[in-house]
Amino acid sequence: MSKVNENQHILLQFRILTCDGIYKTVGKLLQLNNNNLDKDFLKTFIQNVIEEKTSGYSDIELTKIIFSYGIRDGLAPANINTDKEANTILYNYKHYKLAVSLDPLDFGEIINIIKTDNRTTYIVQNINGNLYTFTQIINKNNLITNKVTLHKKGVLTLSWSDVQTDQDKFTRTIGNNVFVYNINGKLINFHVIKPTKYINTIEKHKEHDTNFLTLDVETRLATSKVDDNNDITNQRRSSTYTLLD
Amino acid sequence: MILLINAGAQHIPYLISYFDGRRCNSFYISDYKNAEDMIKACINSLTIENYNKFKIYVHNLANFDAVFLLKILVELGSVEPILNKGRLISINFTGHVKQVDSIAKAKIVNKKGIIIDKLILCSLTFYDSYQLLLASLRKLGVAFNVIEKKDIFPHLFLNNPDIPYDYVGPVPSIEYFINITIDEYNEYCKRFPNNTWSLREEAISYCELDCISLHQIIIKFSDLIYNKYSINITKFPTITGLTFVIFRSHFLNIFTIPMLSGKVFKEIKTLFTGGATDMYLPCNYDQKPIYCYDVNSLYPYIMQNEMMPIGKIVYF
Repeated sequence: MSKVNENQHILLQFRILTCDGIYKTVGKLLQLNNNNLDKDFLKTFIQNVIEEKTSGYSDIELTKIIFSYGIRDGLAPANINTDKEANTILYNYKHYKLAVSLDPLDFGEIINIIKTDNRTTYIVQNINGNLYTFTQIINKNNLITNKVTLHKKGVLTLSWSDVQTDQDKFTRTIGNNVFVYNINGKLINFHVIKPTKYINTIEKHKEHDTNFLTLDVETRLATSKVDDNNDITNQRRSSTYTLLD
Repeated sequence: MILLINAGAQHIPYLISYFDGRRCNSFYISDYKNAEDMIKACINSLTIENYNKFKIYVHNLANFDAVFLLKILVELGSVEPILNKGRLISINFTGHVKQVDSIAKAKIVNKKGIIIDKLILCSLTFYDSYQLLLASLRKLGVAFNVIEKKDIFPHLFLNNPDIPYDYVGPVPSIEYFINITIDEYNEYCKRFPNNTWSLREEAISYCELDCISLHQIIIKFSDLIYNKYSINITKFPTITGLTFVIFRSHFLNIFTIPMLSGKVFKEIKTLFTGGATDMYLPCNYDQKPIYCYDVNSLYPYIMQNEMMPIGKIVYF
């Protein structure tokens, strides 16, 4: 940074090299000015990226961490790293660090807001360039319902819903997993809705089927003289019964 | 009701009859070389196109008559017995329809447009009507108030090895009948004013009457179930299966009762235990009051007052 003067900025790309010889780009291309604000931003950014990606790359052995940079004339736009982001409670879900919050601002920078009659849609971009879409409904009791989607490189990768059940807690449902948090982000309950097959209903029959007949067999004891050659039971010995009725 | 009359011996079929709702057909052993041939003749007469996909009800098939039928059925066609916990539920039988001295064939056109002969098959399903109507034929006849009720017959008379199949003579004495009163016996004897009793005629008459009576019972039961629930009893071999189907077709709301399996099933199954029995030593060393509580009819109480555990399975 010491090579960069006050009228220049630096382009920085954070990458890793795995033991397989594969380069992976981590995060977006940063534009940084030579001032304390952007230095702090860079520290937080690296910390966040590592946290977010740790679980994803935990099973990969890293050979190198590479900072690719270039110096350009002119100042870069200001980078924002708010205290709000820093204080957000995150939890890991399938390698994604999701904010335990109903507030779209806790997920990143709001880049668009669309308001309709009863709902508000927020488009939010996080520091890695991923897009969250929040469709938010606030009912008459001021309880929030969010339906959220996460797009990574334009591909829908995750969706969930947050339903505030009262002023103190909300329920997040992702797939079959249900998390109940208090408003401070503490997990109160977690349960899994198991994929369930149900007993089906059956259609009534349209026609009455009476295609049947009845059959009866009469027997006598094999000890009878005339039956000596008539043994079809092929049993050495059996208990014998006769029907009374 | 079943009466053990001679443990250690074997029973041999000497007569087999069936009734299709219009006519009876009987096969008597003296007309055949042996019992096996007699049963084969009966099965062959059932294996016709008109009876294809028919159900054949035999009262108490699972406990008794299946022994005789199964061995013959496997010789005449393919057999698929269906068992539940070791108990025979039904026998699916498929055999070739026979003409005189040959197997019936139909002319069909195959995929290549060539006319070929195809064997005509007949599929029959043997059901045990006792698993649908759990009572004796006599009690069912009374309960359903059918016209042809079960008759009486001197079953024990045939245990005498000296009695030939073509016996014609006096009416067997009362001791050859099982559980009848003297009045019933006297009434029976009045049918034979000359005291001339034919074993063949009376056995066939008795067996055919059983078939007719059972047919009338099942017809009444079938009408009752179909008129009330639009369900054919012929599709379901047991009363539990029939009951379940009526529930599913009339009373079950969709997506309510989950089917449990795997780990969830195993864990929930452990919660169902038999009634616990505690035994206490009759002593009170501390001489303090002892209270003993018991809950009767807890299950119906819960069923009445609590919500049923239905819907999605939630694991936590």
